[in-house]
Amino acid sequence: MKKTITIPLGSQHISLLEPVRFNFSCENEKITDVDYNVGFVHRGIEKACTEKFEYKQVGYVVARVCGLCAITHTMAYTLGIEHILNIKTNKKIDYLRILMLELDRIHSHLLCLAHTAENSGFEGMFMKIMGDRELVMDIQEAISGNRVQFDFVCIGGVNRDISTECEKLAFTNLALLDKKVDDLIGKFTSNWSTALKYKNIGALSYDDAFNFNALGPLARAAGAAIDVRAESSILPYKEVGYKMILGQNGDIYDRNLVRLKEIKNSILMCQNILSGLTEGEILVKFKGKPNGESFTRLEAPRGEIFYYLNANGTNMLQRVRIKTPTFSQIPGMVEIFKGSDYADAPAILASFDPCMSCTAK
Amino acid sequence: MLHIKRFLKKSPWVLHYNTGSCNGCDIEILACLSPRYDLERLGVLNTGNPKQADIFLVTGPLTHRCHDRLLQLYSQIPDPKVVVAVGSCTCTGGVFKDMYNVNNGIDSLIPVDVYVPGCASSPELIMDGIVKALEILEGK
Amino acid sequence: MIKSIIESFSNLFAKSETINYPYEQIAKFKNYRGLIEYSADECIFCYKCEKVCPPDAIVFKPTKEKNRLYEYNPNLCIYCGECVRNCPKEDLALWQSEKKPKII
Ligand code: SF4
Ligand code: SF4
Ligand code: SF4
Repeated sequence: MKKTITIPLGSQHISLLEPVRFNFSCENEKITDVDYNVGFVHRGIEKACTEKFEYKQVGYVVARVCGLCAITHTMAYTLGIEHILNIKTNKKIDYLRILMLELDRIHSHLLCLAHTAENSGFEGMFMKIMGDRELVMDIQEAISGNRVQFDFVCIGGVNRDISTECEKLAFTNLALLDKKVDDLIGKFTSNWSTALKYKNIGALSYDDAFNFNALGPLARAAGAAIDVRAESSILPYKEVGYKMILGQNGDIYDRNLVRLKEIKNSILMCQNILSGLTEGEILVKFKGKPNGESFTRLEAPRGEIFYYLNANGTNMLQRVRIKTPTFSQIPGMVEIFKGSDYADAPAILASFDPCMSCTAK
Repeated sequence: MLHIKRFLKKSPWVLHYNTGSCNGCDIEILACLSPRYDLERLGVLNTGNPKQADIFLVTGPLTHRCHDRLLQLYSQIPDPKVVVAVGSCTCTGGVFKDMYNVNNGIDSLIPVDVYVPGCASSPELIMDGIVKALEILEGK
Repeated sequence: MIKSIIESFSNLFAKSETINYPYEQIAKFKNYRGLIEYSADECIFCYKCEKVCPPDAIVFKPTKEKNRLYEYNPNLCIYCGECVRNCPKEDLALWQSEKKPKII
């Protein structure tokens, strides 16, 4: 006789950063069904953005939707408002913005890799990646003045210029990191406990990636070419050397590799931007109040982020709608959990890199 | 039972719970455990079990749904315990102040011993907070 | 295999990455966003900083005298620096220091 056991994971668990609850129904070792509960961190940011904060303040508030992709939220909001207000930014501003977005992507991907390594029981690797990550955090702190919440982008431009010292620090640290990432790629392709163990585990096929609306590294690891950076021209990504990176099987191994290669691509983009930066204004003056609506898409570290803004000519916005990548990845995640071993559940979860405070807002 | 107190302050274990923060402070707590800052040399170990913990690190402005869980975790930690509120939004509500689903800081529910401001608090500040918590733990 | 053995030996003699923090200071970068500081002598009481602050960390309390009293709550502040950028007398009346906030 088969007996079904229900095993809860969360809402407080050592492998989880955020409160989320999974109820796994298991038969022997296999997971047969998953029930999930993501609303623990709902704060009501969308509502507050229309009632409590003026449109100039909202940029700082939406940054606190999520600490990992803070700059992406501010960026998407700012691009939307600039579209409504008809502000044209110059090249230098665009480049500085891409620089910060890519630095953020590097640190977020490294954190995810560290987490996957930890959940596969490889504590030393976790420490090593977290140590390497400090190189990016240093650049971020030198440029923006804070390690996590940058508050770097504002309506009409950016808040700070890059000094020559920062540029030098960034160059040395990025070169160092580039070498370390090469080393990590070697480890993630040949080491048993981080790589080979996870071949064909937690796989999402190419068709399923479309059926379940997968985004970001999750879809790209399955071979689906979904990336807003390639599709939209709102930021000049093509000029700075963007390259699409695709995997084949969509398992944990491929996801790790896609992330590592994207880090390499991001490092290249940052170096290109830093060497091609010119003198120029970092803030464009603007007048008037927003009136109209806008839709913005941007590629966050985890996938596509979507902002809808509606303003009616006052200081307060009418509607702010945020759709975050993790929200659309949950169906795919549930599908992968079904049929895999319970022992792999934390590692699969970590390789998704879910962000619950984004999802619940 | 001889010198439990003496050993307690040498190796405090921390329990971390997120009550609706933006993850900014959580990843900084994780960065504290990384080689650069390495909290473990102070004897601090991150644990998942409230029954083994001495220091309770809380982040987030306390959403209504985390209310009961926080209370449960707090009551499961054995005495003496020290509660450290990490981040501006944990101390007072921060940007989330007066949003409809939050409680303006965790001190509306449980007593807080150490307030660590900053958004996000840097690992340096978190370490300061834990060192301060150790002093309080010694006195308790 | 050989590569990893060489690596572990070289790591044995490498300089430690850890900063021994409470006993040793961490070098901060320039322009770290720390506490907001204020000088009543220079302020022209335009209350712009109070208006733009997202979490209302700066509040001007009414007093019996003509000018109101500046009050700043470091536990509420999110260190965004928006108040400083909007102050007409930036760096004189209101500025962002590199001090870290006090822990209580
Ligand atoms: S204090 Fe700021 S960075 Fe920290 S959790 Fe709260 S909102 Fe996020
Ligand atoms: S830094 Fe930001 S949160 Fe702090 S007082 Fe200034 S405007 Fe307010
Ligand atoms: S913005 Fe500057 S001058 Fe105006 S009230 Fe604030 S501190 Fe004073």
